[in-house]
Amino acid sequence: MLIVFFRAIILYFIIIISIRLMGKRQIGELQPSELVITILMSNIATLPIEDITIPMIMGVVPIFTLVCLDVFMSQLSLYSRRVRKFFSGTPKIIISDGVVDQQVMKKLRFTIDDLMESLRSMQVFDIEDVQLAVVETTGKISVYQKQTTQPCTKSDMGITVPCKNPPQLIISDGDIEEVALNFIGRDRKWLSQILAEENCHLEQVFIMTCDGDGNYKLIRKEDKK
Amino acid sequence: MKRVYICIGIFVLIIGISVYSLYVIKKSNDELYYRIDEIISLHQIGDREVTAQKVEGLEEFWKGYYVKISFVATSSTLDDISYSVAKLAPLLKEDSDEFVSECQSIKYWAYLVYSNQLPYFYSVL
Repeated sequence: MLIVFFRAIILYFIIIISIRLMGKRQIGELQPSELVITILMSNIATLPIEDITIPMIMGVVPIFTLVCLDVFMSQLSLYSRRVRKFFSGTPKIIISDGVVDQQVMKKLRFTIDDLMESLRSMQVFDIEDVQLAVVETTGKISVYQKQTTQPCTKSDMGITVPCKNPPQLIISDGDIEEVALNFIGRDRKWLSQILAEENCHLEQVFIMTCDGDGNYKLIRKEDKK
Repeated sequence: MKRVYICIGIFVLIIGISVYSLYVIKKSNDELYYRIDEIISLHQIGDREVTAQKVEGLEEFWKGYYVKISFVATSSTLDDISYSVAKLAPLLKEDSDEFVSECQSIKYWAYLVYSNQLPYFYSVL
């Protein structure tokens, strides 16, 4: 069993290094360590299931070992920038003021097609419109467009509007969401009053949402046919 | 932080179970070796009746040991040992020359089960 334990630790680091070597392009949306866990766990879990001669514990031990390692490493990453850099890498600026950094592209092995595809997915069709584009540690590209091409906002037009939270789901299928109710600063008494006004029992409510101003929307359950 | 403590607990538990399983296998193996050595010496003396009783005792012991050990060892290895243990009684009945070698092979299989659990550098890699 100790062999499996040590093998799991060694494999964890080997695959982390391999994924880091492969670079951001291969990762997609997961952090390198998360990807490693996902790949290994899906593989390890199938072994004792497929081969009944292998005891179940031989699958459980490496899975728990890997998950524990991941938690330890993510905790370590919180304290150490070096550890964070080792496991996740660092974001890289790929476009600055409309100019593509070709060295970074080469380093990341990003083709111009990859870059354009990512920009297009962010509704950017002209590199000139990009003020800053960053390749995140997950491999995704974050784009900040130039001020001149950004859509006009209310603050740009000098319109002042109060900032308020979106409506919260306070009743879901007849159940009161206490946390949401507290979040909008209301209580059960207020809710009972509203339901009485609407002539509706709690059990009859399918969805009820409400914002901080007390504006609510109530959808009743459909009658069973 | 709570998650870290849980993981530390799981880590300690895994190491604990691993070390404990090694201890259990070692202890049970010692008992198995003792029983087999006793059977071999009784067989060499020629006490067939007592030897047969001891073989029966060994079969019973192996049944219990199999259950304990099956959590950590692959069942194919254990099945080989079970096969050898099952052969002992007929071999003794026939007074076969293979009786002692079969006893020795059980000892060797049991030793392999134990040694395969030890985290030697070569076995880890």
